[in-house]
Amino acid sequence: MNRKTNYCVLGLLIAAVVCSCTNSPYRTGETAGNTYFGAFGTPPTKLDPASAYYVHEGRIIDQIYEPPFTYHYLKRPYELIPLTAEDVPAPAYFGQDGLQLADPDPPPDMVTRTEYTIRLKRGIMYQDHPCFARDSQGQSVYEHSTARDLAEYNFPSDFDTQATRELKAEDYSIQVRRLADPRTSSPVFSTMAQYILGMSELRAALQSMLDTERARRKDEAGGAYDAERDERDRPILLDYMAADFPGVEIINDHTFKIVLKRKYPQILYWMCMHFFAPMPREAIEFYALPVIAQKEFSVNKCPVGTGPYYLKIFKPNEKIVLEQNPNYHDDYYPSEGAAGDIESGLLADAGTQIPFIRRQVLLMEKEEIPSWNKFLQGYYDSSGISSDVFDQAIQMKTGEDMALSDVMRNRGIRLVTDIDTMFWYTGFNMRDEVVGGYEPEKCKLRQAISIALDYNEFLDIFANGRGVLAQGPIPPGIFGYRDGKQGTNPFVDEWDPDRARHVRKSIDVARQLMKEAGYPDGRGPDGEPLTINYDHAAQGESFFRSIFDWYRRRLDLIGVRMEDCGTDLSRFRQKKDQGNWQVASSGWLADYPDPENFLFLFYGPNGLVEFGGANSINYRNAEYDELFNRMESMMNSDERQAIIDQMMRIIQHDAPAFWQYHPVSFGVQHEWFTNVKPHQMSYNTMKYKRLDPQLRTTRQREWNKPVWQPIAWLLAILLIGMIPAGIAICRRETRA
Amino acid sequence: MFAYIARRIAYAFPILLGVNLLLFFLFFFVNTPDDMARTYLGDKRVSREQIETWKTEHGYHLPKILNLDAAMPGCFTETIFWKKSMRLFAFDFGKSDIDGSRIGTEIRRRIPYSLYVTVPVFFIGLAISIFIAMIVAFYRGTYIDTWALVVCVIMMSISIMFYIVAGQYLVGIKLRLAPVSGFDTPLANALKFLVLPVVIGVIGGIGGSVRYYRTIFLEEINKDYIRTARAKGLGEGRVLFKHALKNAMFPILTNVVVSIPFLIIGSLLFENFFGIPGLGNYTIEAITKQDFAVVRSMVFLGAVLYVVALIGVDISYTLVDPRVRLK
Repeated sequence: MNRKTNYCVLGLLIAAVVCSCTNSPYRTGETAGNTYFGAFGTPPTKLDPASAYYVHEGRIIDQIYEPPFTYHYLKRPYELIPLTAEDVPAPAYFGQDGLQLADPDPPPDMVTRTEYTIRLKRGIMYQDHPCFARDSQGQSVYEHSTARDLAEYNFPSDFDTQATRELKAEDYSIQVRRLADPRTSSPVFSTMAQYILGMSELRAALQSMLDTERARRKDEAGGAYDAERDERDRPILLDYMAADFPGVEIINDHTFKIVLKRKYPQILYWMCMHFFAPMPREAIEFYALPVIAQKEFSVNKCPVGTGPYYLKIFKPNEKIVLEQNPNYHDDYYPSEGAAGDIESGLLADAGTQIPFIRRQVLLMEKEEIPSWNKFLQGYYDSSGISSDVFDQAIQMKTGEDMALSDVMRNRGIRLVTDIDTMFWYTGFNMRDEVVGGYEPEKCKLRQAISIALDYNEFLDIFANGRGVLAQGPIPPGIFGYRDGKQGTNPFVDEWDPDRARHVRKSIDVARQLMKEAGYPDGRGPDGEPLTINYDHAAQGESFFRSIFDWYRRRLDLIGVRMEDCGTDLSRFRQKKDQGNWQVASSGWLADYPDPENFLFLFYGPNGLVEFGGANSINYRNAEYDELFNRMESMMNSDERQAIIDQMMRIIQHDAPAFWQYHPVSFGVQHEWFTNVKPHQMSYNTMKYKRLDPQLRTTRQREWNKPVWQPIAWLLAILLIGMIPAGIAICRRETRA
Repeated sequence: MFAYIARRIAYAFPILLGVNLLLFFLFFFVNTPDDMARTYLGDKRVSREQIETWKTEHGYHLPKILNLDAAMPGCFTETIFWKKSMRLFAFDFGKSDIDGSRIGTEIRRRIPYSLYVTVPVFFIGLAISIFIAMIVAFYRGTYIDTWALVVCVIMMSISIMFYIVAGQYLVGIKLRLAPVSGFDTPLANALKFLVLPVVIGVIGGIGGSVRYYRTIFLEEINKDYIRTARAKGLGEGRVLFKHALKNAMFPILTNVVVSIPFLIIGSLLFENFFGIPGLGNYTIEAITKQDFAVVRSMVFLGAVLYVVALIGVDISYTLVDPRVRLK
């Protein structure tokens, strides 16, 4: 090649590089399709529906697996609807004599057995999967495959031979049994064992089956046996259906019964979660094949479901791709909604077949700022708003209303907010001699501390006002919550009609309460200021110091000193388990939309120290416990509301915790992403959402034109700057 | 030389055992098997029984170092340390405690991703730094040398975080020439994601490297053989780029070989900010999730690579300087 050709090639190369420069994180043409693009911050580690319990895992698997029931997408309060079941069944209650009770809502102590008969819709098919592929003898096509045969497959969806089959009642039975398998470490096993008949016995039977098989393998392998290594390559295949288990009765291929030991209406809510999703026997057998296990395909990474989407690519630290399941059953956009849904266009697709979106591409984004920037560039269809970018996205309008900034609005971005079904609280250890106890003085002390810690101020300083002052554990949107003045905690807060919100009582009230509690000006009988210890495991967190300083400053107003008792997480948990702490913060996110799911945190027999339960503050009030027993298994009614009101008054008076706030989540979405309504209970809502890919492509082009001018200037300056250096070198060379 | 290498490898065993023991104590000092179980199971609705079951299923129910209930050799072998840490010497990394994936496979899969960033950053940075250092050494004592040093000190003083954030803002958002972050496979698709981290990595490292190599070159150009070369009438460029550079290879090579383990282990910061799923990312993720299996494997791998690199440095001396003999 001569010099001219070299220059031409170089010129072409530069031109190619310049033309191909783009800030798009996708391949050419990828965004033109009906694909949703989003980000995830934490890689999902468990996709097994028996063990996944984190929200970020639910967001993936809830689109793949289908439990019998789900929640209505639009209606509020949340309403149960059938998903794979034909209807939401009414329970059949049985008394001591084994006969069915006539009362549809009997008192819990009369019930010794409850049955829910679930009838499945016919014709629901699984996604295509190699586990269903059978030869003419009915054997798995891949049963005798070798590692070489499967070498080119990176994921089950790559397999050449795939098949499907209809959903059967047995699949649900297998999944409930899997909750008792020690290897799945299901986080809900203990809870389910309290209610489902024979669950604990099933655990013992499965454990025994495992032990027997492990002992057999150990004998076979001799001294070299290593259970971990052995089961990594040859997973133990348990025949779940061989174990005797009265908790699930299969009536026929499309009907099964869940049998409970007692009355527990919340079981229907549990049956909206993936813990109760069907698991085909073929999938269990397929993933137990040594050749498949050696490829690291497992239920934990490669789900098999009947849902609207199936998992196409799973690289948890990089990219997750879900594709529309071509076998998905008929499903339609809801025709009814909550007030205001018609006006906001949420019912425009009423009755239309779903899902609308064909593909979902989720990219790993560990840092929030790059993720936010990609949203602004139009490369993500929706995003949350982190504290770092809050001021850029949101502006305060008149009064305390918040709205999107003009820049965002001009781009067609929409803001969606919703109050989370959770609450934050700071508990007092009720077993502690100083802050615990039930005497009137102790209650007044805790009330005074609650008043001093003004969480409206906290929200303004630390959370950009994104929260609602809590009056108790039940968040808005859950049955039992009282809005406005009616719901005010009369011991700590008052209703401000002008601002239509709750505000803390005056600090003078707190000072008076301190006096009545035996601590005038915060000083005890010994004349020393009252000192309380704040236990936590957050000393490494950057935000902790400023929050703690705020606590101290607020408590100074009533003369109380707060000491920082920070420790590591392990020691902190130990202290809580032993009841060796004074004041500590915690939170609770609803599993299901029922007040029982919040009020059980203060139920005496759930005390952490005595019973190892979720009542970490060890609160015990006989009246509250008695009311809880009555309320727990009641249907929603005025009577239930009245009991909840009573329970709320008791814990508001006793103040075993100072109620912090219910967080408000803020999300933003582009104009091309529609039918979005926040849902706190379901993570399978992507099937309702819609995209306009054409508009997205236009906007992406408009917003992301490369800017070359500064680079050209920089190169010119560098070249000019190099001239004197070159001259100097030449001069030196000549001199030499 | 072979005896020397065999001896060094033998010395490596107690070092690696010590590293394993130290890591084991440090990890379990702040993090008990109960904590690991709770991290896996979540803090909601977890009973004591579930924690115990998890520990049994994952082999964390055994005593840590010494099992006094077992007879010999079980009192050593029936322990967490033996079962979990000693198998590393056979390069059997086992399974992740959190997601059950095979650590060995994951390491093999991620090494190239780390190398995609660290290798170009290292070698492009090395070439540019050496070139600039030689130019600066060429202008020693002049205002160019002074100003170059000032710029180097300023560049060294700026945190790499600033380079990353500023780079993402300028190139990704303002100029819109490269994606802010992300990754794709295969390498051809990953190139557009690698440009920005590589450029930022090179710029971020130039300040320190130029100063270091300038010092080496200044030391070299004051030696007798350089004076002889100049006296023989060789041009300054030839003196510097041929004779001085060749003789300065000794410290440069040391630096290169010692850096190899770090290239493989990856950059925690770059991989995190640019979303590159390499080994740095893997390690950070494991620490966050208290995945002892992955943490111990990564630390062991780092230690092995470092020991190997140090042996490699000694061997490379013999290649650069024939006077050096390993005994």
